[in-house]
Amino acid sequence: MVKIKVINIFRYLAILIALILSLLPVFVVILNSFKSPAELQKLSMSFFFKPTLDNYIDIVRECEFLFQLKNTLFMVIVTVSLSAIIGIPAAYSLSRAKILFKNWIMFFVLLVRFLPYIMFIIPLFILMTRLGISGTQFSLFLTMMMIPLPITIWLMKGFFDDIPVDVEEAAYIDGSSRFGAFLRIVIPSATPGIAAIIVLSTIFTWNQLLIPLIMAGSESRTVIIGLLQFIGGETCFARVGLMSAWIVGIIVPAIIISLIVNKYMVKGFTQGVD
Amino acid sequence: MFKRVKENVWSFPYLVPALIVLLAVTGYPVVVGIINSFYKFDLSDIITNERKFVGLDNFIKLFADDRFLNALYITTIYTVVSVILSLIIGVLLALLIERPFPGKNIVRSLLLVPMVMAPAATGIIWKNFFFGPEHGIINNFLKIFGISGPGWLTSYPWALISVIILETVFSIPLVMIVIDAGLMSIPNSVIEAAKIDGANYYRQVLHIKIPMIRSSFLMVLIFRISTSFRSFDFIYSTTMGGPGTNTETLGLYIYNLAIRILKISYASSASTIMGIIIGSVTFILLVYVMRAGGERFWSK
Repeated sequence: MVKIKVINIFRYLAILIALILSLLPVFVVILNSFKSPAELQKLSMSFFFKPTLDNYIDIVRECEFLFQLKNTLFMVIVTVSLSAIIGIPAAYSLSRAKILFKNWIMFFVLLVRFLPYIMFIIPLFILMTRLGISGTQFSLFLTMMMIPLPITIWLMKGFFDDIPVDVEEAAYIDGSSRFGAFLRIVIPSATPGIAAIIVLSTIFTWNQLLIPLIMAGSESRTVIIGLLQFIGGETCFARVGLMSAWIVGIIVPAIIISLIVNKYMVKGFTQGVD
Repeated sequence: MFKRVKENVWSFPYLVPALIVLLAVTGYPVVVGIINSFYKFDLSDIITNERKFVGLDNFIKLFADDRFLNALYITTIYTVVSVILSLIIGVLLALLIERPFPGKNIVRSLLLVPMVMAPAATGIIWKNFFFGPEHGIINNFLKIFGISGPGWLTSYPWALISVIILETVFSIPLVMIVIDAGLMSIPNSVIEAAKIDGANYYRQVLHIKIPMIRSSFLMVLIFRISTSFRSFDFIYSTTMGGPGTNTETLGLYIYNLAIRILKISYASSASTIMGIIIGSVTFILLVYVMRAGGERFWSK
Protein backbone atom coordinates (compact mmCIF):
# COMPACT_ATOMS: atom_id res chain seq x y z
CA MET A 1 0.00 0.00 0.00
CA VAL A 2 2.76 2.39 0.95
CA LYS A 3 4.54 1.49 -2.26
CA ILE A 4 1.52 2.45 -4.36
CA LYS A 5 1.32 5.81 -2.60
CA VAL A 6 4.98 6.52 -3.31
CA ILE A 7 4.47 5.68 -6.98
CA ASN A 8 1.46 7.98 -7.08
CA ILE A 9 3.47 10.83 -5.59
CA PHE A 10 6.06 10.41 -8.34
CA ARG A 11 3.30 10.30 -10.90
CA TYR A 12 1.73 13.56 -9.72
CA LEU A 13 5.15 15.14 -9.49
CA ALA A 14 5.92 14.19 -13.10
CA ILE A 15 2.55 15.54 -14.27
CA LEU A 16 3.18 18.76 -12.34
CA ILE A 17 6.60 19.21 -13.95
CA ALA A 18 5.12 18.63 -17.41
CA LEU A 19 2.40 21.18 -16.68
CA ILE A 20 4.88 23.78 -15.48
CA LEU A 21 7.12 23.30 -18.52
CA SER A 22 4.14 23.51 -20.89
CA LEU A 23 2.75 26.68 -19.37
CA LEU A 24 5.93 28.51 -18.41
CA PRO A 25 6.43 30.23 -21.80
CA VAL A 26 2.83 31.49 -21.76
CA PHE A 27 3.22 32.73 -18.21
CA VAL A 28 6.51 34.48 -18.95
CA VAL A 29 5.24 36.25 -22.03
CA ILE A 30 2.04 37.40 -20.34
CA LEU A 31 4.05 38.70 -17.40
CA ASN A 32 6.40 40.64 -19.65
CA SER A 33 3.59 42.12 -21.70
CA PHE A 34 2.48 44.09 -18.64
CA LYS A 35 5.91 45.50 -17.83
CA SER A 36 7.12 49.01 -18.56
CA PRO A 37 10.39 49.50 -20.50
CA ALA A 38 12.21 50.38 -17.26
CA GLU A 39 10.96 47.20 -15.66
CA LEU A 40 12.07 45.17 -18.69
CA GLN A 41 15.64 46.43 -18.32
CA LYS A 42 15.92 44.31 -15.20
CA LEU A 43 16.04 40.54 -15.15
CA SER A 44 13.27 38.95 -17.15
CA MET A 45 11.84 36.98 -14.23
CA SER A 46 10.75 39.57 -11.70
CA PHE A 47 7.27 38.93 -10.36
CA PHE A 48 6.57 42.10 -8.45
CA PHE A 49 6.11 45.20 -10.53
CA LYS A 50 3.43 47.75 -11.30
CA PRO A 51 1.52 46.35 -14.28
CA THR A 52 0.86 48.68 -17.18
CA LEU A 53 -1.28 48.39 -20.28
CA ASP A 54 1.07 50.67 -22.25
CA ASN A 55 2.41 47.86 -24.42
CA TYR A 56 -1.06 46.90 -25.58
CA ILE A 57 -1.95 50.51 -26.26
CA ASP A 58 1.29 50.99 -28.20
CA ILE A 59 0.95 47.96 -30.48
CA VAL A 60 -2.47 49.25 -31.47
CA ARG A 61 -1.28 52.83 -31.92
CA GLU A 62 2.15 52.35 -33.46
CA CYS A 63 2.40 48.90 -34.98
CA GLU A 64 -0.96 48.50 -36.72
CA PHE A 65 -1.96 45.52 -34.61
CA LEU A 66 -5.68 45.93 -35.22
CA PHE A 67 -5.25 46.20 -38.99
CA GLN A 68 -3.31 42.93 -39.07
CA LEU A 69 -5.72 41.29 -36.64
CA LYS A 70 -8.58 42.25 -38.94
CA ASN A 71 -6.70 40.79 -41.94
CA THR A 72 -6.02 37.57 -40.07
CA LEU A 73 -9.60 37.17 -38.86
CA PHE A 74 -10.90 37.83 -42.35
CA MET A 75 -8.49 35.27 -43.81
CA VAL A 76 -9.38 32.62 -41.21
CA ILE A 77 -13.12 33.15 -41.56
CA VAL A 78 -13.07 33.05 -45.37
CA THR A 79 -10.76 30.06 -45.80
CA VAL A 80 -12.19 27.95 -42.98
CA SER A 81 -15.82 28.51 -43.96
CA LEU A 82 -15.13 28.07 -47.66
CA SER A 83 -13.33 24.80 -47.06
CA ALA A 84 -16.19 23.66 -44.82
CA ILE A 85 -18.77 24.59 -47.47
CA ILE A 86 -17.05 22.72 -50.28
CA GLY A 87 -15.21 20.10 -48.21
CA ILE A 88 -18.10 18.72 -46.16
CA PRO A 89 -20.27 17.76 -49.18
CA ALA A 90 -17.18 16.30 -50.86
CA ALA A 91 -16.42 14.18 -47.80
CA TYR A 92 -20.06 13.09 -47.70
CA SER A 93 -19.97 11.95 -51.31
CA LEU A 94 -16.68 10.15 -50.74
CA SER A 95 -18.26 8.37 -47.80
CA ARG A 96 -21.56 7.38 -49.44
CA ALA A 97 -21.10 7.10 -53.20
CA LYS A 98 -19.13 4.58 -55.20
CA ILE A 99 -16.78 6.95 -56.94
CA LEU A 100 -14.20 5.99 -59.49
CA PHE A 101 -10.64 6.40 -58.10
CA LYS A 102 -12.12 7.00 -54.65
CA ASN A 103 -9.18 5.41 -52.86
CA TRP A 104 -6.81 7.42 -55.00
CA ILE A 105 -8.60 10.64 -54.11
CA MET A 106 -8.39 9.79 -50.41
CA PHE A 107 -4.75 8.83 -50.77
CA PHE A 108 -4.02 12.13 -52.45
CA VAL A 109 -5.83 14.08 -49.72
CA LEU A 110 -3.72 12.30 -47.13
CA LEU A 111 -0.49 12.74 -49.08
CA VAL A 112 -1.13 16.49 -49.27
CA ARG A 113 -1.02 16.59 -45.49
CA PHE A 114 2.40 14.89 -45.49
CA LEU A 115 4.19 16.77 -48.27
CA PRO A 116 6.15 19.94 -47.50
CA TYR A 117 4.07 23.09 -48.03
CA ILE A 118 6.98 24.84 -49.72
CA MET A 119 6.59 22.36 -52.59
CA PHE A 120 3.09 23.69 -53.30
CA ILE A 121 3.83 27.30 -52.54
CA ILE A 122 6.69 27.93 -55.01
CA PRO A 123 4.74 27.06 -58.19
CA LEU A 124 1.71 28.97 -56.91
CA PHE A 125 3.95 31.95 -56.18
CA ILE A 126 5.31 31.77 -59.75
CA LEU A 127 1.78 31.60 -61.12
CA MET A 128 0.54 34.51 -59.02
CA THR A 129 3.55 36.61 -59.99
CA ARG A 130 3.00 35.88 -63.65
CA LEU A 131 -0.67 36.80 -63.36
CA GLY A 132 0.35 39.97 -61.53
CA ILE A 133 -1.75 39.17 -58.47
CA SER A 134 0.95 38.17 -56.00
CA GLY A 135 0.52 39.92 -52.68
CA THR A 136 -3.24 40.27 -53.08
CA GLN A 137 -5.74 38.88 -50.64
CA PHE A 138 -7.06 36.53 -53.30
CA SER A 139 -3.70 34.84 -53.85
CA LEU A 140 -3.16 34.51 -50.09
CA PHE A 141 -6.60 33.04 -49.45
CA LEU A 142 -6.43 30.62 -52.37
CA THR A 143 -3.00 29.35 -51.32
CA MET A 144 -4.13 29.10 -47.71
CA MET A 145 -6.90 26.69 -48.76
CA MET A 146 -4.25 23.95 -48.86
CA ILE A 147 -4.32 23.88 -45.03
CA PRO A 148 -8.01 23.59 -44.06
CA LEU A 149 -9.38 21.76 -47.12
CA PRO A 150 -7.50 18.43 -46.81
CA ILE A 151 -8.18 18.41 -43.05
CA THR A 152 -11.88 18.95 -43.70
CA ILE A 153 -12.22 16.28 -46.37
CA TRP A 154 -10.15 13.68 -44.53
CA LEU A 155 -11.75 14.13 -41.11
CA MET A 156 -15.32 14.57 -42.29
CA LYS A 157 -15.14 11.41 -44.38
CA GLY A 158 -14.20 9.53 -41.23
CA PHE A 159 -17.05 11.12 -39.29
CA PHE A 160 -19.61 10.40 -42.03
CA ASP A 161 -18.42 6.79 -42.20
CA ASP A 162 -19.37 6.46 -38.54
CA ILE A 163 -22.93 7.70 -39.09
CA PRO A 164 -25.28 4.82 -40.01
CA VAL A 165 -26.93 5.06 -43.44
CA ASP A 166 -30.31 3.73 -42.22
CA VAL A 167 -31.74 7.08 -41.14
CA GLU A 168 -31.00 8.69 -44.49
CA GLU A 169 -32.55 5.77 -46.32
CA ALA A 170 -35.67 6.09 -44.20
CA ALA A 171 -35.82 9.73 -45.25
CA TYR A 172 -35.63 8.83 -48.96
CA ILE A 173 -38.54 6.43 -48.53
CA ASP A 174 -40.47 9.32 -46.97
CA GLY A 175 -39.83 11.27 -50.15
CA SER A 176 -36.91 13.44 -49.08
CA SER A 177 -34.36 14.41 -51.72
CA ARG A 178 -30.67 13.52 -51.36
CA PHE A 179 -29.77 17.12 -50.62
CA GLY A 180 -32.69 17.55 -48.26
CA ALA A 181 -31.61 14.51 -46.27
CA PHE A 182 -28.01 15.75 -46.30
CA LEU A 183 -29.01 19.13 -44.87
CA ARG A 184 -31.66 18.02 -42.41
CA ILE A 185 -30.40 14.66 -41.21
CA VAL A 186 -26.72 14.12 -41.96
CA ILE A 187 -25.35 17.57 -41.11
CA PRO A 188 -27.10 17.80 -37.71
CA SER A 189 -25.82 14.37 -36.68
CA ALA A 190 -22.30 15.35 -37.78
CA THR A 191 -22.09 18.58 -35.76
CA PRO A 192 -19.41 17.30 -33.34
CA GLY A 193 -17.26 16.41 -36.35
CA ILE A 194 -17.91 19.77 -37.98
CA ALA A 195 -16.97 21.51 -34.73
CA ALA A 196 -13.74 19.49 -34.68
CA ILE A 197 -12.72 20.41 -38.22
CA ILE A 198 -13.56 24.08 -37.69
CA VAL A 199 -11.46 24.27 -34.53
CA LEU A 200 -8.54 22.47 -36.13
CA SER A 201 -8.63 24.44 -39.38
CA THR A 202 -8.94 27.72 -37.48
CA ILE A 203 -5.92 27.00 -35.30
CA PHE A 204 -3.74 25.82 -38.19
CA THR A 205 -4.70 28.73 -40.43
CA TRP A 206 -4.32 31.28 -37.64
CA ASN A 207 -0.84 29.97 -36.78
CA GLN A 208 0.42 29.58 -40.34
CA LEU A 209 3.71 31.36 -41.03
CA LEU A 210 5.15 30.14 -44.33
CA ILE A 211 2.16 30.81 -46.61
CA PRO A 212 1.57 34.45 -45.60
CA LEU A 213 5.34 34.99 -45.48
CA ILE A 214 5.49 34.32 -49.22
CA MET A 215 1.99 35.23 -50.32
CA ALA A 216 0.86 38.16 -48.18
CA GLY A 217 1.44 41.71 -49.38
CA SER A 218 1.46 44.83 -47.22
CA GLU A 219 -2.32 44.99 -47.52
CA SER A 220 -2.94 41.44 -46.38
CA ARG A 221 -0.24 40.80 -43.78
CA THR A 222 -1.32 38.68 -40.85
CA VAL A 223 -0.50 38.99 -37.14
CA ILE A 224 2.10 36.24 -37.46
CA ILE A 225 3.90 38.21 -40.18
CA GLY A 226 3.50 41.33 -38.04
CA LEU A 227 5.28 39.52 -35.24
CA LEU A 228 8.38 39.21 -37.40
CA GLN A 229 8.86 43.00 -37.37
CA PHE A 230 10.17 42.53 -33.82
CA ILE A 231 13.02 40.33 -34.98
CA GLY A 232 13.66 42.14 -38.24
CA GLY A 233 14.76 45.75 -38.28
CA GLU A 234 11.46 47.60 -38.63
CA THR A 235 9.73 50.32 -36.59
CA CYS A 236 8.86 48.18 -33.62
CA PHE A 237 12.18 46.32 -33.56
CA ALA A 238 13.72 45.24 -30.27
CA ARG A 239 10.92 46.46 -28.05
CA VAL A 240 10.40 43.46 -25.86
CA GLY A 241 7.29 44.79 -24.14
CA LEU A 242 5.47 45.43 -27.39
CA MET A 243 6.61 42.10 -28.73
CA SER A 244 5.24 40.32 -25.66
CA ALA A 245 1.89 42.07 -25.99
CA TRP A 246 1.80 41.11 -29.66
CA ILE A 247 2.52 37.45 -28.88
CA VAL A 248 -0.19 37.46 -26.21
CA GLY A 249 -2.56 38.75 -28.88
CA ILE A 250 -1.67 35.77 -31.06
CA ILE A 251 -1.50 32.90 -28.60
CA VAL A 252 -4.16 33.74 -26.01
CA PRO A 253 -7.12 33.54 -28.44
CA ALA A 254 -5.85 30.18 -29.71
CA ILE A 255 -5.36 28.86 -26.17
CA ILE A 256 -8.80 30.06 -25.04
CA ILE A 257 -10.47 28.45 -28.06
CA SER A 258 -8.59 25.23 -27.43
CA LEU A 259 -9.65 25.15 -23.78
CA ILE A 260 -13.31 25.95 -24.46
CA VAL A 261 -13.77 23.40 -27.23
CA ASN A 262 -11.13 21.00 -25.97
CA LYS A 263 -13.32 17.95 -26.48
CA TYR A 264 -13.77 18.70 -30.18
CA MET A 265 -10.15 19.60 -30.69
CA VAL A 266 -8.95 16.34 -29.18
CA LYS A 267 -11.48 14.50 -31.33
CA GLY A 268 -10.14 16.25 -34.40
CA PHE A 269 -6.51 15.57 -33.62
CA THR A 270 -6.98 11.93 -32.70
CA GLN A 271 -9.33 11.15 -35.60
CA GLY A 272 -7.12 13.08 -37.95
CA VAL A 273 -4.15 10.96 -37.07
CA ASP A 274 -5.92 7.67 -36.59
CA MET B 1 -22.16 -0.55 -65.09
CA PHE B 2 -24.69 1.97 -66.33
CA LYS B 3 -26.83 1.41 -63.27
CA ARG B 4 -23.87 2.05 -61.03
CA VAL B 5 -23.14 5.35 -62.73
CA LYS B 6 -26.77 6.38 -62.46
CA GLU B 7 -26.91 5.52 -58.80
CA ASN B 8 -23.87 7.58 -57.96
CA VAL B 9 -24.22 10.49 -60.33
CA TRP B 10 -25.66 12.64 -57.50
CA SER B 11 -22.19 12.76 -55.97
CA PHE B 12 -20.73 14.96 -58.70
CA PRO B 13 -21.92 18.38 -57.53
CA TYR B 14 -20.93 17.39 -54.01
CA LEU B 15 -17.42 16.38 -54.92
CA VAL B 16 -16.35 18.53 -57.86
CA PRO B 17 -15.99 22.01 -56.26
CA ALA B 18 -13.69 20.71 -53.53
CA LEU B 19 -11.75 18.61 -56.00
CA ILE B 20 -11.17 21.60 -58.29
CA VAL B 21 -9.86 23.77 -55.46
CA LEU B 22 -7.75 20.94 -54.07
CA LEU B 23 -6.22 20.21 -57.46
CA ALA B 24 -5.62 23.93 -58.07
CA VAL B 25 -3.73 24.48 -54.81
CA THR B 26 -1.93 21.13 -54.52
CA GLY B 27 -2.18 18.97 -57.65
CA TYR B 28 -1.26 21.75 -60.05
CA PRO B 29 1.78 22.91 -58.03
CA VAL B 30 3.15 19.38 -57.63
CA VAL B 31 3.07 18.79 -61.39
CA VAL B 32 4.36 22.25 -62.32
CA GLY B 33 7.02 22.06 -59.61
CA ILE B 34 8.36 18.81 -61.01
CA ILE B 35 8.36 20.22 -64.56
CA ASN B 36 10.12 23.40 -63.34
CA SER B 37 12.90 21.28 -61.84
CA PHE B 38 14.11 20.50 -65.35
CA TYR B 39 14.36 24.15 -66.42
CA LYS B 40 16.58 27.04 -65.52
CA PHE B 41 15.08 30.43 -64.69
CA ASP B 42 15.04 32.94 -61.87
CA LEU B 43 12.50 35.38 -60.50
CA SER B 44 13.04 38.06 -63.15
CA ASP B 45 12.43 35.49 -65.89
CA ILE B 46 8.99 34.73 -64.52
CA ILE B 47 7.35 37.82 -65.97
CA THR B 48 8.94 37.38 -69.40
CA ASN B 49 8.38 33.63 -69.21
CA GLU B 50 11.86 32.93 -70.50
CA ARG B 51 13.20 29.57 -69.49
CA LYS B 52 15.73 27.08 -70.68
CA PHE B 53 15.39 23.32 -70.57
CA VAL B 54 18.43 21.90 -68.77
CA GLY B 55 17.41 18.30 -68.13
CA LEU B 56 18.83 16.85 -64.95
CA ASP B 57 21.32 19.69 -64.50
CA ASN B 58 19.66 21.11 -61.39
CA PHE B 59 19.65 17.73 -59.69
CA ILE B 60 23.28 17.07 -60.52
CA LYS B 61 24.20 20.48 -59.13
CA LEU B 62 22.16 19.86 -55.99
CA PHE B 63 24.02 16.70 -55.12
CA ALA B 64 27.28 18.59 -55.44
CA ASP B 65 25.90 21.53 -53.45
CA ASP B 66 27.41 21.40 -49.95
CA ARG B 67 24.74 23.66 -48.56
CA PHE B 68 21.99 21.38 -49.86
CA LEU B 69 23.67 18.25 -48.52
CA ASN B 70 24.21 20.00 -45.20
CA ALA B 71 20.51 20.96 -45.11
CA LEU B 72 19.55 17.35 -45.84
CA TYR B 73 21.82 16.16 -43.04
CA ILE B 74 20.53 18.76 -40.55
CA THR B 75 16.92 17.98 -41.46
CA THR B 76 17.50 14.27 -40.93
CA ILE B 77 19.03 14.76 -37.49
CA TYR B 78 16.34 17.28 -36.56
CA THR B 79 13.56 14.91 -37.62
CA VAL B 80 14.97 11.68 -36.20
CA VAL B 81 15.89 13.11 -32.79
CA SER B 82 12.73 15.16 -32.27
CA VAL B 83 10.47 12.33 -33.44
CA ILE B 84 12.10 9.79 -31.13
CA LEU B 85 12.09 12.15 -28.14
CA SER B 86 8.51 13.29 -28.65
CA LEU B 87 7.29 9.71 -29.06
CA ILE B 88 9.02 8.50 -25.90
CA ILE B 89 7.92 11.45 -23.76
CA GLY B 90 4.46 11.56 -25.33
CA VAL B 91 3.80 7.88 -24.62
CA LEU B 92 5.09 8.24 -21.05
CA LEU B 93 2.83 11.25 -20.47
CA ALA B 94 -0.14 9.40 -21.91
CA LEU B 95 0.52 6.52 -19.51
CA LEU B 96 0.89 9.00 -16.64
CA ILE B 97 -2.45 10.69 -17.23
CA GLU B 98 -4.26 7.51 -18.24
CA ARG B 99 -5.63 6.49 -14.86
CA PRO B 100 -8.26 8.86 -13.47
CA PHE B 101 -7.16 11.48 -10.96
CA PRO B 102 -8.83 14.65 -9.70
CA GLY B 103 -8.66 17.38 -12.34
CA LYS B 104 -7.60 15.02 -15.10
CA ASN B 105 -9.59 16.76 -17.83
CA ILE B 106 -8.27 20.23 -17.09
CA VAL B 107 -4.70 18.92 -16.76
CA ARG B 108 -4.96 17.18 -20.11
CA SER B 109 -6.35 20.33 -21.73
CA LEU B 110 -3.54 22.44 -20.30
CA LEU B 111 -0.90 19.97 -21.49
CA LEU B 112 -2.13 20.63 -25.03
CA VAL B 113 -1.26 24.33 -24.84
CA PRO B 114 2.19 24.05 -26.50
CA MET B 115 0.53 22.49 -29.53
CA VAL B 116 -2.00 25.26 -30.17
CA MET B 117 0.46 28.12 -29.82
CA ALA B 118 1.75 29.48 -33.11
CA PRO B 119 5.21 27.91 -33.61
CA ALA B 120 6.60 31.25 -34.72
CA ALA B 121 5.39 32.86 -31.48
CA THR B 122 6.78 29.98 -29.41
CA GLY B 123 10.12 30.36 -31.16
CA ILE B 124 10.29 34.07 -30.42
CA ILE B 125 9.29 33.57 -26.77
CA TRP B 126 12.05 31.01 -26.26
CA LYS B 127 14.56 33.08 -28.14
CA ASN B 128 13.91 36.21 -26.11
CA PHE B 129 13.22 34.90 -22.65
CA PHE B 130 14.73 31.43 -22.36
CA PHE B 131 17.73 31.00 -24.62
CA GLY B 132 19.41 34.36 -23.99
CA PRO B 133 23.10 33.83 -23.11
CA GLU B 134 23.12 36.25 -20.15
CA HIS B 135 19.62 37.04 -19.00
CA GLY B 136 17.87 34.00 -20.41
CA ILE B 137 15.84 31.94 -17.96
CA ILE B 138 17.70 28.71 -18.71
CA ASN B 139 21.14 30.15 -18.06
CA ASN B 140 19.93 31.97 -14.95
CA PHE B 141 18.55 28.67 -13.72
CA LEU B 142 21.84 26.89 -14.46
CA LYS B 143 23.73 29.61 -12.61
CA ILE B 144 22.08 28.42 -9.37
CA PHE B 145 24.07 25.22 -9.77
CA GLY B 146 27.20 27.12 -10.73
CA ILE B 147 27.02 26.13 -14.39
CA SER B 148 27.54 28.84 -16.94
CA GLY B 149 25.31 27.94 -19.85
CA PRO B 150 26.23 28.35 -23.51
CA GLY B 151 24.80 30.87 -25.98
CA TRP B 152 21.97 28.51 -26.82
CA LEU B 153 21.04 29.78 -30.24
CA THR B 154 24.40 31.12 -31.31
CA SER B 155 26.90 28.34 -30.77
CA TYR B 156 27.60 24.90 -32.17
CA PRO B 157 26.10 22.37 -31.41
CA TRP B 158 23.69 24.07 -29.00
CA ALA B 159 21.74 25.92 -31.69
CA LEU B 160 20.64 22.65 -33.29
CA ILE B 161 19.91 21.13 -29.89
CA SER B 162 17.79 24.16 -28.97
CA VAL B 163 15.61 24.05 -32.07
CA ILE B 164 15.21 20.29 -31.63
CA ILE B 165 14.00 20.97 -28.07
CA LEU B 166 11.43 23.44 -29.43
CA GLU B 167 10.18 20.97 -32.03
CA THR B 168 9.97 18.22 -29.40
CA VAL B 169 8.07 20.33 -26.86
CA PHE B 170 5.66 21.38 -29.60
CA SER B 171 4.97 17.81 -30.73
CA ILE B 172 4.71 15.95 -27.42
CA PRO B 173 1.02 16.93 -26.92
CA LEU B 174 -0.03 15.42 -30.24
CA VAL B 175 1.61 12.10 -29.41
CA MET B 176 0.11 12.25 -25.93
CA ILE B 177 -3.51 12.72 -27.00
CA VAL B 178 -3.36 10.19 -29.81
CA ILE B 179 -1.82 7.54 -27.56
CA ASP B 180 -4.25 8.53 -24.78
CA ALA B 181 -7.17 7.94 -27.15
CA GLY B 182 -5.61 4.62 -28.17
CA LEU B 183 -5.22 3.56 -24.54
CA MET B 184 -8.81 4.50 -23.75
CA SER B 185 -10.05 2.34 -26.60
CA ILE B 186 -8.53 -0.81 -25.06
CA PRO B 187 -11.45 -2.79 -23.62
CA ASN B 188 -11.42 -2.92 -19.83
CA SER B 189 -12.01 -6.68 -19.92
CA VAL B 190 -8.60 -7.23 -21.51
CA ILE B 191 -6.83 -5.40 -18.67
CA GLU B 192 -8.96 -7.18 -16.06
CA ALA B 193 -8.12 -10.55 -17.58
CA ALA B 194 -4.43 -9.71 -17.44
CA LYS B 195 -4.73 -8.67 -13.80
CA ILE B 196 -6.42 -11.97 -12.94
CA ASP B 197 -3.56 -13.77 -14.67
CA GLY B 198 -1.26 -11.90 -12.30
CA ALA B 199 0.31 -9.40 -14.69
CA ASN B 200 1.69 -6.40 -12.81
CA TYR B 201 1.41 -2.85 -14.15
CA TYR B 202 4.66 -2.93 -16.12
CA ARG B 203 3.75 -6.21 -17.76
CA GLN B 204 0.33 -4.83 -18.65
CA VAL B 205 1.98 -1.86 -20.31
CA LEU B 206 4.64 -3.83 -22.13
CA HIS B 207 2.65 -6.86 -23.25
CA ILE B 208 -0.89 -5.57 -23.61
CA LYS B 209 -1.14 -1.80 -23.85
CA ILE B 210 1.76 -1.07 -26.17
CA PRO B 211 0.93 -3.86 -28.63
CA MET B 212 -2.73 -2.81 -28.68
CA ILE B 213 -2.01 0.82 -29.51
CA ARG B 214 0.36 -0.14 -32.30
CA SER B 215 -1.69 1.28 -35.14
CA SER B 216 -2.27 4.67 -33.45
CA PHE B 217 1.43 4.69 -32.62
CA LEU B 218 2.38 4.12 -36.26
CA MET B 219 -0.01 6.78 -37.53
CA VAL B 220 1.25 9.38 -35.11
CA LEU B 221 4.77 8.39 -36.12
CA ILE B 222 3.99 9.13 -39.78
CA PHE B 223 2.44 12.50 -38.90
CA ARG B 224 5.35 13.40 -36.68
CA ILE B 225 7.95 12.49 -39.30
CA SER B 226 6.24 14.52 -42.00
CA THR B 227 5.68 17.63 -39.86
CA SER B 228 9.19 17.61 -38.41
CA PHE B 229 10.70 17.08 -41.83
CA ARG B 230 9.05 20.20 -43.24
CA SER B 231 9.42 22.23 -40.03
CA PHE B 232 10.23 25.83 -40.81
CA ASP B 233 8.65 28.14 -38.24
CA PHE B 234 10.85 27.35 -35.24
CA ILE B 235 14.06 27.81 -37.14
CA TYR B 236 12.91 30.89 -39.04
CA SER B 237 11.82 32.58 -35.81
CA THR B 238 14.93 31.71 -33.78
CA THR B 239 18.22 31.03 -35.55
CA MET B 240 17.35 31.73 -39.21
CA GLY B 241 19.59 28.77 -39.98
CA GLY B 242 22.58 30.04 -38.06
CA PRO B 243 25.18 30.06 -36.76
CA GLY B 244 26.50 29.68 -40.30
CA THR B 245 24.35 26.93 -41.73
CA ASN B 246 24.30 24.89 -38.54
CA THR B 247 20.52 24.81 -38.28
CA GLU B 248 19.57 25.37 -41.91
CA THR B 249 16.97 22.71 -42.68
CA LEU B 250 15.71 21.82 -46.13
CA GLY B 251 12.56 23.89 -45.73
CA LEU B 252 14.56 26.96 -44.82
CA TYR B 253 17.20 26.44 -47.52
CA ILE B 254 14.53 26.06 -50.20
CA TYR B 255 12.78 29.17 -48.90
CA ASN B 256 16.08 31.05 -49.04
CA LEU B 257 16.79 29.81 -52.56
CA ALA B 258 13.39 30.83 -53.87
CA ILE B 259 12.75 34.07 -52.01
CA ARG B 260 16.17 35.44 -51.04
CA ILE B 261 18.56 34.06 -53.67
CA LEU B 262 15.81 34.06 -56.33
CA LYS B 263 16.97 30.85 -58.00
CA ILE B 264 13.43 29.65 -58.43
CA SER B 265 13.99 26.65 -60.69
CA TYR B 266 16.84 25.40 -58.50
CA ALA B 267 14.54 25.73 -55.48
CA SER B 268 11.92 23.73 -57.36
CA SER B 269 14.36 20.89 -57.91
CA ALA B 270 15.32 20.91 -54.25
CA SER B 271 11.68 20.84 -53.18
CA THR B 272 10.99 18.00 -55.62
CA ILE B 273 13.72 15.97 -53.93
CA MET B 274 12.32 16.91 -50.53
CA GLY B 275 8.86 15.78 -51.65
CA ILE B 276 10.19 12.51 -53.03
CA ILE B 277 12.01 11.72 -49.79
CA ILE B 278 9.10 12.43 -47.47
CA GLY B 279 6.60 10.99 -49.95
CA SER B 280 8.39 7.67 -50.11
CA VAL B 281 9.06 7.48 -46.36
CA THR B 282 5.40 8.08 -45.53
CA PHE B 283 4.25 5.79 -48.33
CA ILE B 284 6.36 2.88 -47.04
CA LEU B 285 5.11 3.50 -43.49
CA LEU B 286 1.49 3.73 -44.68
CA VAL B 287 1.77 0.40 -46.49
CA TYR B 288 3.22 -1.03 -43.30
CA VAL B 289 0.31 0.40 -41.27
CA MET B 290 -2.19 -1.16 -43.64
CA ARG B 291 -0.45 -4.51 -43.35
CA ALA B 292 -0.39 -4.10 -39.56
CA GLY B 293 -4.16 -3.94 -39.50
CA GLY B 294 -5.01 -0.34 -40.19
CA GLU B 295 -7.30 -1.23 -43.12
CA ARG B 296 -10.15 0.69 -41.56
CA PHE B 297 -8.07 3.64 -42.54
CA TRP B 298 -8.72 3.21 -46.27
CA SER B 299 -11.75 1.36 -47.15
CA LYS B 300 -14.50 1.78 -44.70
